[in-house]
Amino acid sequence: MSLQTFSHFLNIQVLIADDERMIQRLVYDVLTQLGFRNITVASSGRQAIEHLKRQPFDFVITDWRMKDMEGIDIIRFVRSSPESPNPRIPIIMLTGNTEAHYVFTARDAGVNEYLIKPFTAEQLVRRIRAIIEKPKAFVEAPAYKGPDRRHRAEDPPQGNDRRRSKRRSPPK
Amino acid sequence: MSNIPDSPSDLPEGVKIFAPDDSLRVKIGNVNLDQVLSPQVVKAAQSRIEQAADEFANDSLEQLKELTQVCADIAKSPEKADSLLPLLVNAAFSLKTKTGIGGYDLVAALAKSLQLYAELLQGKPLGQKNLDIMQWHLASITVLLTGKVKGDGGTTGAAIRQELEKLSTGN
Repeated sequence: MSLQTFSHFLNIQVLIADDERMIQRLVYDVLTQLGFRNITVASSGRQAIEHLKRQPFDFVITDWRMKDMEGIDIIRFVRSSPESPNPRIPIIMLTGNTEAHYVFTARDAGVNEYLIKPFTAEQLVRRIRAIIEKPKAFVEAPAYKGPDRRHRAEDPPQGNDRRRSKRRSPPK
Repeated sequence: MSNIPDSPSDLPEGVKIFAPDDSLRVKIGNVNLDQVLSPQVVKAAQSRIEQAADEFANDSLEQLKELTQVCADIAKSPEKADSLLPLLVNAAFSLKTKTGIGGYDLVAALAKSLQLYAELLQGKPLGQKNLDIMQWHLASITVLLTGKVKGDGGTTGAAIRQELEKLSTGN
């Protein structure tokens, strides 16, 4: 690991919530290898909520299935509870739940990114980069609080810009 | 045409949209993340995952004991299925995750099949065929895991998965 990596992520506070000790350690090790140093581990959903109330975090990585409180309820707490200290904190769901209905449920609860176990370092990095480099607008609506889920549908450029990217040089 | 309103006045009542929060980016500073999270750094992180694979594989054997016990409890007392099936779902789910990380793709697939089957059975009375299907899953998982059969098992693995899926879904 380079010193450069160490210095840039030094102040980033990360919360991991997972009740499987081995997964906790794996995610912790991978994040450490990527250069993160301020990592807090919660062994249960309730513990994660306590940490969130006590100190500010820059992003959260949470499991879905935990014994005392599910990760989806952590997201709902963060996004909608009056006790939530920061409703807009980015959340990555790291879960073995692979079926589409879980993904839709997480999206509707306001998750930022969804990552399926087993995961690779590259997949985790892609999710982390997405929350750093492409933060989304935050929506507060009566039935939804979370990152903007809409995709901007744009017409193709008009006039001279139309299909510019596909234009080839004329043959010489 | 954009489907995103251009001004707050275009928004439905009660809806607020806040600009993207770039505080994470600001905190990290103006650095090139391609360099900070270079292929070498990502590779080193990936090697941590690969180093952990054996630990997960070993732990999977412990998880298998739990799964075996739950299956035995259900076979012994099918009338207690309401309380035991959620335990089976959790044990199979946990085994799926651990074996997946441990590189036992076929075992992970079979554990997932058992998890989904147990989820389908919740709230229904259990018959002998249901118990048999659980046992066949368990037997296959046990043979593969104790025999340390990693990967997807090739054509034999595909055949086992297909057969168990046929039995589980009745198709």
